Formats: sequence, structure tokens, C-alpha cells
Amino acid sequence: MRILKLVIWDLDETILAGILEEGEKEINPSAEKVMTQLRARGVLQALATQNQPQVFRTATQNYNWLDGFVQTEVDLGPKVDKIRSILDTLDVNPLDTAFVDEDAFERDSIAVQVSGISAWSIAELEGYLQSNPVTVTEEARRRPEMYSAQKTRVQDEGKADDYLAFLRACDIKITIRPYASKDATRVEELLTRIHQMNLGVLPLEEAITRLNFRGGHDVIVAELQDNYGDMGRCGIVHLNATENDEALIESLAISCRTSARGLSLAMLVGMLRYPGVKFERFRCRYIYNGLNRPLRMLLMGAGFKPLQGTDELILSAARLARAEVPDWVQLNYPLI
Amino acid sequence: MDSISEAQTVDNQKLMNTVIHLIAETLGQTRVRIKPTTQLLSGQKIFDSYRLMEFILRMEDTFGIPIPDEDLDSDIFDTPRTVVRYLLSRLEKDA
Repeated sequence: MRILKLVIWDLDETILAGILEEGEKEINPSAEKVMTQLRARGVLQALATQNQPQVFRTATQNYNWLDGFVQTEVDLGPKVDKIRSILDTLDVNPLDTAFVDEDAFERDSIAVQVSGISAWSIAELEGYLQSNPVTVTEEARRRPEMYSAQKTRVQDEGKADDYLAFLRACDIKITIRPYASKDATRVEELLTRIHQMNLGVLPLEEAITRLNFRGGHDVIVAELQDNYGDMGRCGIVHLNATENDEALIESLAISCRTSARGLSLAMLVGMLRYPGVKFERFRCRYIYNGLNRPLRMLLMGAGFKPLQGTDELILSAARLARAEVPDWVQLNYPLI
Repeated sequence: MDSISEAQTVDNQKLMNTVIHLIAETLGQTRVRIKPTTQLLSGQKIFDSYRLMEFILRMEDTFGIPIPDEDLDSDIFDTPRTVVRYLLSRLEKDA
């Protein structure tokens, strides 16, 4: 387990004290307690159960606890297919996912078939939560709500005849401002949770320490909002002024909430163009960590040029000025 | 036009068609008509980071050449035409 982002629950004899088809409706108190804790931490919850959809729908229509689940996969097919479907839809890595089932055979079977997933009993999940306390940010608390908004956004996008007109009507705003002490927990969360769009050159602890004792460095934070909701603080860049009007990018992380629609590019360009910082060049190292190739693509899209023979990339102010932000994104700099 | 340059023109056109086809495949649906001069990274933002990565993986598979990090340059991936130019130089070098 890297960091717990998603819990996929089994239903019969796990969430429920017995079997749904046999008329069981009582929720297992241990499961209920853990589900409440997960909700409070902003961990996504989903359900994968081998039940007949019709039976499930009828029997569970009064289950309030299901409202907090971002996805339910119900059919008589193999459980592993449902788990894979949930991981694909929510775009969560198995390394950040726990499958919870009270049946040891099911746990072992899923652990073998889904590489990287943690297959736990309720007691094991409870143990993990106790030994890994977290400070819950506003963004984490609203995470299930944001996933639901994202589902609606994707559905509407699929229905739109004119994609560009749809994007322009979304009223997408990126607000860019300097880092403040109130952002510390969220920034730490961004640097920890993000894998694909994370420069990750500095070890996490060092990156956080440097943020907190940053002297004259510039740290910029970006927030994202559209008609479907407020996605909160989604981007951070830490710039360290070096010689010759140059900035070294020490940390850079952009949430996957910005994926597609050109938003990650708009966010990166917007942060580097923050009017409070002016540099002739931006320099960064890119080290492939097995997951962060999308970041390399993003850096290329923003105009960063590889410095041949090194792992460094350079972006000149002139190239940054030429980078086009999509016309459906509005960049706001409120404190300037 | 002599027969050698005529054959080259046909090959280049084939390569261009393949590249445009790969772009369309990556996009999944033809929301935008792709031309040799369509800007892939600016303007209408044909590619976001994830799509661009997918396109590069498709190119590596199709042409059997790895694309190293040092070639990930916006001048190379600016338009289908610049991509074809890059591919020609790579294929020639590797031949």
C-alpha cells in the first residue's frame, strides 16, 4: 500500500452481516464504523458484488450508506472484472487501493489477479487507519463529491455535439496565487498523492522541508473551478531563484483532476506566468519514476526543451510567452 | 520527377497518412479534422499530456523505434508534418 485512495468493498458477509439474496439487510457494525471513518478521510469507496442487479436494486433501495459510494459494480460475473472496471473508471492505481472482503479465499484470489492491490479484512483495514492517521484537507473531504461531479462532466461531454462549445460553456477558471501557510497540508497531500504529474526530483520529506523553510523562494498554488464544482487546490510549483535570472523548479505537482481539456497545460503555464515572479529561464530536472511520463509530455507541451546529454529541461521566458492557453480556460491572479 | 524522387514522395505520403491515422486513433473520435499542418500542441490543443503519451507509444509500436526523452521536443511534435520529418530522419538513421 502506497497511500490509501480507494476502498472496494465486497457486500455479502462483509458489509452485510449475511447474504443479500437470503434476505439479509443488517449492516455489519464493524463495516459501518470503518465506512464512516473512510468518508471522513475522503477515501473513495466502491462496491463490487456478485449479485443479480435486479435483486440488488430492490433490496438496497433504502440503504443510505450506498450514497457515499462513487461506483457500484453488480452482476454475476467474476469479481475481478468488477474490480478492474472500478479501477479503470476511477483511474486509481491498485497500489493505492484496498479490496475488503471477510472471506480469506476471495482476498487471496483478488490479490493474485490484481497486481499491487491490498486485499484486507475489515480488521486489517481498521488497523491501517489507526496506524496511519491523516490531517483531512477540504479537498479530501469533498473528494467523493468531486468524483461524482467528474462523472457528470464526462457524461455531458460525451453528449455534446460541439465539443469546443461545450468546453467554452463550462466556465473553467484557474486561480493562481502565492502559497500561504494555510496551504501546507494540501500541498503536502499534492506532493504525496500525485504520481503521474509530479516532478518528484527531491525526496518527499526534503521537498516539504524546503517548502516550509523556503527563504526567498517562490511557491505558487493553483485552484480549479468550473460549472460542475470547485476542485480546490490542484497545482503547486516551487521556484528557487538561481543565477542569471533563472529559476530552478524544485517541486512541481499537478492533480489528475486537470487531465484532458488542456487544463494541466493551462495550470502549468499559468503558474509560471504568475506576475509576482519574473525569470528569464526556468530549469528543471526530469527523472522518470515509472509513472510520471505524462509530466514529461506536459513539460514538452509548455515548451520546455531538453538539454542534450543531461536530464535537464529549459524553458525560456520567450517560449513561455508563446505557449497558448486554451481559450476555454480563464486564468485569474487575484492578489495582483 | 525521376522515379526515385517519385517513390520517395509516395513513401512520404504513406508515412503522413499513417501518422494522421495514428493521431485519429489516439483521439478516439474525429472531432477535429487532422491535416499535415494541424498544430498538435497549441491552438485547439489536439493533444493533452496523456493523449500525447499514447500517441508516442503508438508511434513506437507502429514504426518499431523507441523515442528517447531527449527527442520529446515541441518542435518535433508541433504538426503531423514535423512528426513525419522526424520519423524520416530516424528511419533513415536506423536503416
